[in-house]
Amino acid sequence: MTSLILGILLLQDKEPKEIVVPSPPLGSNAAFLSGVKEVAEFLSEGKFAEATNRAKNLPQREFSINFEFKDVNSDTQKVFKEAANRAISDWQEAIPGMKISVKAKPNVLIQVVPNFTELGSQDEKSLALFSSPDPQDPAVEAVLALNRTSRKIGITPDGMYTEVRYIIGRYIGIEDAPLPNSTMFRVEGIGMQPIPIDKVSRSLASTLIFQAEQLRTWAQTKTKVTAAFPEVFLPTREVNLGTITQGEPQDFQFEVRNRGKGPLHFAVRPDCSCFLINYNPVVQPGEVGIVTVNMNTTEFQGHYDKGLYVYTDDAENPVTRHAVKAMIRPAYRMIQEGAHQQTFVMSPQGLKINYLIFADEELKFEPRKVSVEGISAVASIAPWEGEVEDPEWFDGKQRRKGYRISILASPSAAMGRTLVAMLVQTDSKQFPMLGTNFYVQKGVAVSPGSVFFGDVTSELSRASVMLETTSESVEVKEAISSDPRFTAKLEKISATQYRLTVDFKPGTEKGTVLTSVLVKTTDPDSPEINIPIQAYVP
Amino acid sequence: MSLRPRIALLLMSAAPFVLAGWGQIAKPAESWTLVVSGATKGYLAPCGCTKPMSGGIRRRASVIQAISKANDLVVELGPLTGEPGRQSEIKAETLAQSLKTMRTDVVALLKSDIQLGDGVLSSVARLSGAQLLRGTPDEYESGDGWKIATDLGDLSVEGMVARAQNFVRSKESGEALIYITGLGKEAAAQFAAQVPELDVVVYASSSNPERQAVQVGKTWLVSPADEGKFVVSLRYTGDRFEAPVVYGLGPDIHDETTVARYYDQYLDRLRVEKLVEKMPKISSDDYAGTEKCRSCHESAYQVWEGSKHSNAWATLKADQHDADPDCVSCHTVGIESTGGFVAEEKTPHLTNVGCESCHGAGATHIAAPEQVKMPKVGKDSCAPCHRLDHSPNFKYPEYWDKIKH
Repeated sequence: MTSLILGILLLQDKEPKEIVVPSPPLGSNAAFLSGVKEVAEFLSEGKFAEATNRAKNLPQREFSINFEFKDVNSDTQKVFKEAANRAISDWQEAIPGMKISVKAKPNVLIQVVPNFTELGSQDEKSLALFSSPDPQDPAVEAVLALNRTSRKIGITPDGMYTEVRYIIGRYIGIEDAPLPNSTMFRVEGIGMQPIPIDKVSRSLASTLIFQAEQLRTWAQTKTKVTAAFPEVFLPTREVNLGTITQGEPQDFQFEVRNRGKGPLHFAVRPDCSCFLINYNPVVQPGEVGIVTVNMNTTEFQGHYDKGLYVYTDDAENPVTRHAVKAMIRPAYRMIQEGAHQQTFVMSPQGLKINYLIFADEELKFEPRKVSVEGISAVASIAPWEGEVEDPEWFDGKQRRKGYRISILASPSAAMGRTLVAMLVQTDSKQFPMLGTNFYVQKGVAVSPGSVFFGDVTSELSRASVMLETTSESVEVKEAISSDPRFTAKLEKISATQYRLTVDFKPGTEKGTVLTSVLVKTTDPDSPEINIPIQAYVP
Repeated sequence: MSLRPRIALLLMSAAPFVLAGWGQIAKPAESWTLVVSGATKGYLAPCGCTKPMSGGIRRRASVIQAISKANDLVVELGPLTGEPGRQSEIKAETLAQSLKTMRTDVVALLKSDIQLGDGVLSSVARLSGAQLLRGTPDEYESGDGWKIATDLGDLSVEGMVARAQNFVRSKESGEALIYITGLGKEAAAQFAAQVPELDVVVYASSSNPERQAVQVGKTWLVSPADEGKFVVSLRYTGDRFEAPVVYGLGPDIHDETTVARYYDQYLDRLRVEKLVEKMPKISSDDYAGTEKCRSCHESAYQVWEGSKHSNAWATLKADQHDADPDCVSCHTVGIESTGGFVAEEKTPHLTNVGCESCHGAGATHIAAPEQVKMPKVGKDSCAPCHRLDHSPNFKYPEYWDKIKH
């Protein structure tokens, strides 16, 4: 947009002393950037015929397209042309004044073939693009495979549409988008459903066409310009921060050097919201730009591999990924004291569970308050020191210092398995609330919580759940279904585990079936359990 | 080389494969494809209120059905779900139904999946028809031309190398060896360098797949990222894997109809079990509702009424996610509190994103406005809902402009 405004200002200036070719917008592709560079160089040298000639293959507001089919039957050709027409219409609607016609000698030529591989490779491709500076050639020639990838999957009409739309975007001069949700995001694969041309691509396309028109005008009016272009050099393309601690802000810098003759414009776009980036987006020739990055590691543990995409107006390097890597050690660990248990069985006296909070070295915050949700419990915090092995980090037993959280739960828990959340409030700004979950079981537990059949498409379907008792002395005695379509069977599979298998004969009724099965046990806490049954008869 | 000869050569190189017509291409009989996706983490649908987003089982099924055939190997990576609880059980079962539609052969479980319990995993195995691998030593799954070993991400690189020794020794002639680890790319690269007999190492990652394929020796390193946003495929041609192909599950991918139906059933199940009403309450703050603020703060109310915040509940209902605990907390007021949203029928005044969503519970302030002052809040109050994965276009200054009061 800056270039657009600059361009308008330059056009309005009736007697410019010196016209400097505006920098192409960031997000331009290499073909566009090199085209602008070459035309501008011709203009600066007074070679107006050459400039006029070269500028022909820069994007035009009115341009032509054509298709060549090889070994493609007439029905498929028809489908392809209809899909291509949709893509053409969408671009015409998106860009004011754009007119795309079908001509024998086009600006964009799309060769449609059943499939192809690139020279010297066995790997099949779905699309290859070639840009040509020669006005005798199409500006962009594409080879597009109908059978995509190594699986030779037939492209759908919507896939044809998205591919043609992308090819036109490349002709206009737009670089690939690094992330989805853009007209110009493409990976080798299949596109099936159209989405509107996105705002960024639309705005970029208008700017690029305007800039190409401006160059053509200068060539026709024999206007001499000053042409000076940047050449980006990134001394590093990766920052490896080594082993760092979660939550500690990481500041680092990398250089963006300009070895060219014109000012370098660049933008840094991260693929993670964890980066705060500062830089001056213009680097003068011979100067070095510094990108300062502040990385927030609060939400990460373990291997970290993110990217900063550096977009420039250098034709050779329109976009470069700057990798950021680190091994992030956790800021704290909160683990159960003793053997790790996912489920605790409630005893008549209640339950005592201990958690330890510690860090690799010193814990940088203090736990202030503990709350336990899901059961009736009280919890306390006390300083702790001792030896412990962290099951998720392979450091062996280590001497640690931190806090012990002791939970005392009353025996009044709900029947079955209850999910319990323990929440620890701290004085840390980064980690104000720590949390963990565990289950408390009272009586017989059912897992999963219902007998789920899913789609029932056969005459007889079977589904099951597991029942877990709290001790070997408890028995699951009987399972009864009052619905005649269902029969239930119990099977003891270990001292405390039973499998309840339910058979379903659906009959003629369609739709959702919701019923239940009654299970009787010797557990005084849960003598009878109603287990829901869910099924869908399509 | 000029354009024309280049294209001619390109087409000539394709000549052996080119047959007349579309979709009538002969395939080498011995080839099959490894299709890897998953690390779903409970994201059955593309996460987020800002559309379009990436991922989701409905799109994933479309792609996998389109790119795989009967003798291919389709692998799902764990974690299947997020935090434990009843919703995760239902998610695991819905995902399992969908995995059957995706013709999944193997599910590589991670530690959090094991914690779902034997009952849920048994249900997952039945509904998916897939073999579940629990990452135990010497547990391999093999098929026609392939063998897979996994770990839970609980081994060091040395531990993985030690485990892989028996795996490599078990290789039979013509078998491709695939190792799936719960560790990341760096560890996978170190591991692959020490066990060169492996054909593919699949690693865990939360970064988007790289466009550049990565190979250590002959071993491909691949990851479909996480939250089910990508599918990676590699064709095996009898003696080697070809370069991986990455499929992004963007909005251009249509929903597979069977899985779309399973997803509707999932939403039904959440509604039937009233899981929103059973969400844990971690505070006892009393919320009053936005209408109560109006009498003193009319101009702020007018701004709110004209904003999308005032329509957040209707938006969620239109999307049929008003019974989904994953979504409801950002479309209602105070759901984490015993004095907050419970259900539309019970607490209709606490639907939508209201004044108290940002400013905190206001019942005590309304009761005694002079004595209890509401705190000033800033952009931190937006962060819990306007997270990158839910609200990727969020920019505080621009969004603040829409609700400035």
